[in-house]
Amino acid sequence: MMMPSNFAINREGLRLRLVAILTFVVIMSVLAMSLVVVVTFNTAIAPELENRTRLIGATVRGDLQRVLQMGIPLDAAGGLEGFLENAVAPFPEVRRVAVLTRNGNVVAEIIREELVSTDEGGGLLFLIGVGPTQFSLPIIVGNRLVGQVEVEGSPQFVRTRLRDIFLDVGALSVLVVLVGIEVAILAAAAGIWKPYGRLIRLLREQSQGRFIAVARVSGPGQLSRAIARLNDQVRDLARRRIHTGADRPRRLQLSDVVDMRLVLLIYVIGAEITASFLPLYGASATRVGWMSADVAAALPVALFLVGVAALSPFAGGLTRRFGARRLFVASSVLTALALAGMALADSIATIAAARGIVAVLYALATISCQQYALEAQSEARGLQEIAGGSASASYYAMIFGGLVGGSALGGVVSSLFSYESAIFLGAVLVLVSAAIALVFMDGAAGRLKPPATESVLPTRLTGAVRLRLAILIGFIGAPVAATTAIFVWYLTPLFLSGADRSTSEIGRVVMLYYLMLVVVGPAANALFGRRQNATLSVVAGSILTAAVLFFHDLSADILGYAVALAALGIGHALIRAPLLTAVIETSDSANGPVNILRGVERLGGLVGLAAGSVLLSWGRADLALNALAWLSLSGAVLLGLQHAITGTRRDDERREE
Amino acid sequence: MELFWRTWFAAFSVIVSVGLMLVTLVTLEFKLDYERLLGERMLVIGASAAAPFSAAAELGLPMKSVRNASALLDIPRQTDPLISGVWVLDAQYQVIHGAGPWIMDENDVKTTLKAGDGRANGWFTTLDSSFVAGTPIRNSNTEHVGQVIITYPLEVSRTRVLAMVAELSFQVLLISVVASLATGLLLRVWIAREIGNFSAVTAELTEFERQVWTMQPGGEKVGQAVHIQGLLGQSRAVYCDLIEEPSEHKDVDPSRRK
Repeated sequence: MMMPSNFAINREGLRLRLVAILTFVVIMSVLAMSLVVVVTFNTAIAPELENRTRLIGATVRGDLQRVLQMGIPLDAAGGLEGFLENAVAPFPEVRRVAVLTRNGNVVAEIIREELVSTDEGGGLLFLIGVGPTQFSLPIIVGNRLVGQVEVEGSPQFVRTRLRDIFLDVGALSVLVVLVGIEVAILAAAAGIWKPYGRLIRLLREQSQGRFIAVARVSGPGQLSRAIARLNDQVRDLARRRIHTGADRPRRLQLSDVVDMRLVLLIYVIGAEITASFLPLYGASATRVGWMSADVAAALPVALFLVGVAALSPFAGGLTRRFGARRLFVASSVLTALALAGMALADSIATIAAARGIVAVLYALATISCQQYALEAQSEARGLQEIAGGSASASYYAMIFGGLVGGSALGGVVSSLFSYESAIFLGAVLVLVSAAIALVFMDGAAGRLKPPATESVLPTRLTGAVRLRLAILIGFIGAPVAATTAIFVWYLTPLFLSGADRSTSEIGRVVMLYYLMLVVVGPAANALFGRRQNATLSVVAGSILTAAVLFFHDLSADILGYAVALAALGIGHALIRAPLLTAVIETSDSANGPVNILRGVERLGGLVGLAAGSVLLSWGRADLALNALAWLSLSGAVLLGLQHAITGTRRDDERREE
Repeated sequence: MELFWRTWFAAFSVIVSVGLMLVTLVTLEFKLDYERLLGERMLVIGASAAAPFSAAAELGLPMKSVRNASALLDIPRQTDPLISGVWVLDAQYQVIHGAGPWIMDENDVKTTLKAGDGRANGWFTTLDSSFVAGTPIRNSNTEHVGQVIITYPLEVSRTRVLAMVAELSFQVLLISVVASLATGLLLRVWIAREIGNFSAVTAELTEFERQVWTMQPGGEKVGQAVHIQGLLGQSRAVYCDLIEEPSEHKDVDPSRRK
């Protein structure tokens, strides 16, 4: 008899509906709030802007009056434009200043065309009452009106000031929505469907005569009363020593993929808070004489990759040995300490060492969460229950979502306060994730596990399979990792910073790449999850990646980088999840080749970063992009050819049969 | 409805968080912008006030020799009556001329003045309860021979910031409330099926409790909930059997009970 463990809630469906509702409401709220902000900000700043405009008028008038008192007629005064230009130079919000005669003839006038032209697009501002400030001051010589000074301030000042805020709020709204959805799902899980799951599990055991477990009493009234009743039955039998044979029944602990989602999301946000400014933070630190600023900028990122690569193969074993929850909590606390160390450090060596430690702990923490999710999923499947979502999809969604959130939050906080404040905030978030893990990752999947008995390497692989795996791993996986490390993490922040872009702006551009992975990734996985389509998706993604790398100009403006990173994000979204599917299906195993793929990905990132750093110090960063472009293109061609040949052979074999 | 309230509360938290972020960021930006605008204005006023002293210094005359200095230093206060003080300091940070009460801590001022010496076009900062701006005075060799210091009460800035925060917070709160109500409406419609399912489950649990207390047999129900009620009944029957025939480590075979 198959038991329903979860009443008819499609959690993925519920999550999608929540995403839709929250996204819609948040967008509408932000729009409404934006209008309110513009009006309020303008009203509050207006008196000071008027003071400034009046001051310009008064200064110009005062100087002119002194000249005119010497008997020089107003329209005969030469070089007035230069004088007016100097007068308005400290006031960027003034769009026009003019000196007029008593009859209204313009003697001299300065117009800032760039402000006038942008003001033309400010229809909405005028509609909500944000107009230009205008002043006219009379020029009086000996009680005689000889002319006037006119000054106009631009309403664009407020819009320009607020543009950055709205962009920051937009970026942080994505973060809040991501976290909010996970909080909503976790709250529903902890309060409703987990108590319900516990009730059903107890009922299932007890109706089969097994009174051996009690469950935590929680959930709405009726649910908790029913659980309490079943617990009482077990305790009563235990007290009478009937059936159970023990005084103390065991505690029933249910695991769910949902348990680790919020934990992992907040951990990654905290650990990756440096994503948008790490090279700049590294470059700004003190360094030894022989180390160039470029190498210093790359060092923390490189050590991060080394750390993750070094620990990834062992993290699974460690999780089984110590338990997912214990390992995660320990890693999180140490991550917070390492981040605090990074914030307090003033030399590149300390920053890089701290980042390396964070990397090792990051590998442990994230893989322990992944292990928890996989265990929860297999536990649910073993009991013919509905898991709270796909373990792998959840893992990737939280990793990339966390990167998006961390990058946005780090960019905004470091821009408003300092790099150190942002890193400290990251440490606090990591500790918060540990606290949530202690409360919610309490299922059986978080406890100690016996060592894995499955062989790490697959037993037999045919030549064709080996070739396909080599192409997938060496020509697709490695360039993806190298491109991410060198272009997204390293070159983009450096070049945009060189073009005087703020860390907040750089954060937003880097976020676009991850946003594409978060948005396009699940769609690509759903569309191209199967092997045949996976190859198509990987080939298309590689071609798109190659195109971006071929055509991107490193000296492009911020818009050029935004377009390139968005396109690269789409390309990589088409590759990442389908690549994993392709490797698992090709090798028929979720172990050996997948582990090799992970290792090569890390190594690819590391080698790419090192090469990029060296090439940049020679002034030839473009070579790195070209090499990656050719590698990606080769991967696409080789995989396409291999797929076509294998497909033809398979058709021949089918015909012969 | 438990499901609805929990998801609605999470959605409400998201909306309020977005509003809070917006208010915080706007406030920080406003404070920075306001102080920058004020500082720039004070520098222009300072440059105007410094002109007669610079003229004296360029001629090689001591700044103390400027006649009617107090009247000259009162001119800036006529452009903005809120300016609390204007002083001329020499290169050793000693006050030569001044208008208005000197309200700042001497050590703090000296540290700030030293830090501002390198700024060619002047500097501004907040110090104690004042906003302070300094404009350099140079001689004909462009050597730094002193500066004009203008102070402005910080309460003006604080009052403006607080007024804006209060107004903005109220409006954002209103929008958050409206948005939360809209979210509640959308959630009520979009998760109606889940809410209905869960209500059916809880209704059946209540019905089971009632049957136990009134010792009535269970009625025929449809859907998944009847399954739960059946399991509850079965579990209770097994339990009752076990306590009626107590024995140590009794093995139970539920199939015998059918």
